[in-house]
Amino acid sequence: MSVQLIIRDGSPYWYLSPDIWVVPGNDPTAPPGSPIAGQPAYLWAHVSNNGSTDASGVRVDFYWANPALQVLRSTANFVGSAFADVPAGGGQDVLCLTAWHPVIVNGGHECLVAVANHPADPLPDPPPDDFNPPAYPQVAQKNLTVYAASQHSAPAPLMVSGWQRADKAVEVVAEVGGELDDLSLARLGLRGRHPAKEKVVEVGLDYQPRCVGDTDRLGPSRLAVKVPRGTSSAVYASIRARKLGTDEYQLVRFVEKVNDKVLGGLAFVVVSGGKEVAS
Amino acid sequence: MSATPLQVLTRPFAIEPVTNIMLPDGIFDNAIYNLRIACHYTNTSTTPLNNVTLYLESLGDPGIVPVAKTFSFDKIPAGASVLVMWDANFKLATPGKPLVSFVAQADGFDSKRSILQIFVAQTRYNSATNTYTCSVPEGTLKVSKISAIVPAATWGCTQGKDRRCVCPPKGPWVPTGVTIDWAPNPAFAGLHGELPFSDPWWKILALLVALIAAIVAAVEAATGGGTAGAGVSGTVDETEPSVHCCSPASGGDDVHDGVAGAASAVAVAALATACSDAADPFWRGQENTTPAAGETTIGEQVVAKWSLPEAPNAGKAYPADVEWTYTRFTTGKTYTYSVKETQINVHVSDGVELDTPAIVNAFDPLWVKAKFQKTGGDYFKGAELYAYAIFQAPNNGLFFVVPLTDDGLGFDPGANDTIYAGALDLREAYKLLLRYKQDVRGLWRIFVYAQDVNLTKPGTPPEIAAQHIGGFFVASALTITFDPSLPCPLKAQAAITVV
Repeated sequence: MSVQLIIRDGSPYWYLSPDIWVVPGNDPTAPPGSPIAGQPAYLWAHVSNNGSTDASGVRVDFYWANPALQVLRSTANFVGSAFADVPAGGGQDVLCLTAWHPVIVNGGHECLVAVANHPADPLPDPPPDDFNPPAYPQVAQKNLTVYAASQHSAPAPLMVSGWQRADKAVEVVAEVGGELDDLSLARLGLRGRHPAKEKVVEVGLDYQPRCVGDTDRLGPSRLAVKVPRGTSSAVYASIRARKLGTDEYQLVRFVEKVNDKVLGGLAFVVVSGGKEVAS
Repeated sequence: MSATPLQVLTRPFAIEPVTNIMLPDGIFDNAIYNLRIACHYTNTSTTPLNNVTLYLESLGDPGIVPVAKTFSFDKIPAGASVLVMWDANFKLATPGKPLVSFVAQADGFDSKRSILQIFVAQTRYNSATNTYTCSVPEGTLKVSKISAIVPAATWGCTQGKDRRCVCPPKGPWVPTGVTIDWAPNPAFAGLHGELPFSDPWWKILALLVALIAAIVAAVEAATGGGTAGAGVSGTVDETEPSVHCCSPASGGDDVHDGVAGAASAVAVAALATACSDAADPFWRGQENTTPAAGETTIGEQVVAKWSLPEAPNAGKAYPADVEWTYTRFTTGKTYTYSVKETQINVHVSDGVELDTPAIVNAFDPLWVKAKFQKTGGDYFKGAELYAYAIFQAPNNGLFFVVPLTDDGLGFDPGANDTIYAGALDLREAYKLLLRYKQDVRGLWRIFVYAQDVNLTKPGTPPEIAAQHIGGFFVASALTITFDPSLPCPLKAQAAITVV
């Protein structure tokens, strides 16, 4: 007799959960897609129960955070809660009806977290500041943004959140490549796209924001970052793309590491140009 | 698998849990912190559904905090509407039309989600001006200068040894006049402004204010301080005659709240009757005061006074002789329109028919079946009513509230067959009676109440939707009278002897 709640992590990138998605606009039952800065959006999650006992009244809490690599409770923003009954061996989609308004200053690029709570499958009380999805099956994170390819790259700020009680020294690494599962693509409105056959996206990191032209040299792919306790810092990512087909995408990941342990990550799905699709 | 064919078809409504009454037109108000979100869930298929679960999933306002609960039904007959409700705290609710979602699942089907709006208002009282303010997104309604027929000085006194009739601690007051000011948000050009919530007439907000003012004391008395918005109880100008109305004595405190709440709801409905359902004074005033081109309406006012030749009793077509003046304040000038007329209560019933067993063995269920007749011979059925019975234990004992439903479940013979049924589990009741040292055996008395439900479908044009109003009592065990010479007007409609 047990309840084992799961909001799936992404695979292989745990911070790209396929079980969290966004429905932009005023109709929470409309097709999923990318959020639009300044416009309302609704958050959904899929919760499974791998236990042998039905779980009634599961409370799912939804959060958003500024584009950050490691998302902390202390820096995340609570959106709202929803309840679900999740049968043993089954799953249930959960809709949070408190509208989420992606802030304009981030251009709609946000990180999302969903947490399933039930007395029969409790999280630590009080919970740790780090959501730490890999450690808790009930917690998942979706740090995935659709990014329209451009030769001229605008810097994207990535927050590195410090710990509350200790200084933090990490390495931020930019990586290009990898695949998304079909479900994640569909929930971004990118159904049918496939990874680009070649590496067509360049990325670089900087400590300061700077505009990068199509011939300028990009920053390094690794940066060391020190964050005093109780504060946050930022690095700036530049993404530049060439020759991306209309049915293609390329995944760009930014990962926060300490001694090769991944603390958090954030990804951009780079698609062919035109106006950027905010997420 | 296909989706479970269960849906919430009409707007969920507010139930005040201390008095068990539905608030006017089902509108929620954060002046009363603890309310129930109630709705009828309908099996829209032609076959029964088995092993059904229903739960409230989410609300669009994080200021509304519901208590998670799942309702389970072994079976819901085809076409049946079951009544379900969830406790929620509205203390921090924001006035507006938040969404609420419910999820239903039956054997052999996928889960099905119903998403609807509820209406939430915010009423506050200013003791300095003796003015109530009800805020909604479309504007602010101020209610002042309320005149009313108030409970007689004898209210609350025992009226003779034989009748053993004791009134509720806070009696109902029957409004006979009011001043209502509406500040539209934003000011508008043209003839008509936006209706509150784009649905009910402005008068419904005034009715909501009046009811909250009437019941808030009972709610706070029953649940303790801090369960209602500060200072939502003011004073009224007293007019002649007085209300003489009784309730049965009780061993339990909650009876008085239930009876007082129902009495208050019945009494304040006189305001709605005087102001007409077809088109309230604001709408009619707007129609008859066309502003000049370029003018913007920045405020409106209705001053109304009425007399009641008969006491305003539930389900009765009582008249109200009313005079009112509508004033439109624009950026250019002020326009007025006055009316003198007689209005008749349209929320009527031709009576209640009850069926109960004469004798029941101890610990068998006490059941009641009720039929509520409309005018013209038809009967209410299914989701058209929110109905309940109050069972009073022997020797003026405790009271127990039991929902009455026409869903074909339990003691109800069939869904939508016009019979509303409910039953009291005597084994459970006995546990409570023991605490109060009361006996389960003896003569139980039964009182039946019913309020109509607003069945307007979502998406109905506002001026049409506004004409359909719910929450009026069409049946009440309590009779309001202005004549102190009449016998105790609260009578049990049925009795069961438990042996």
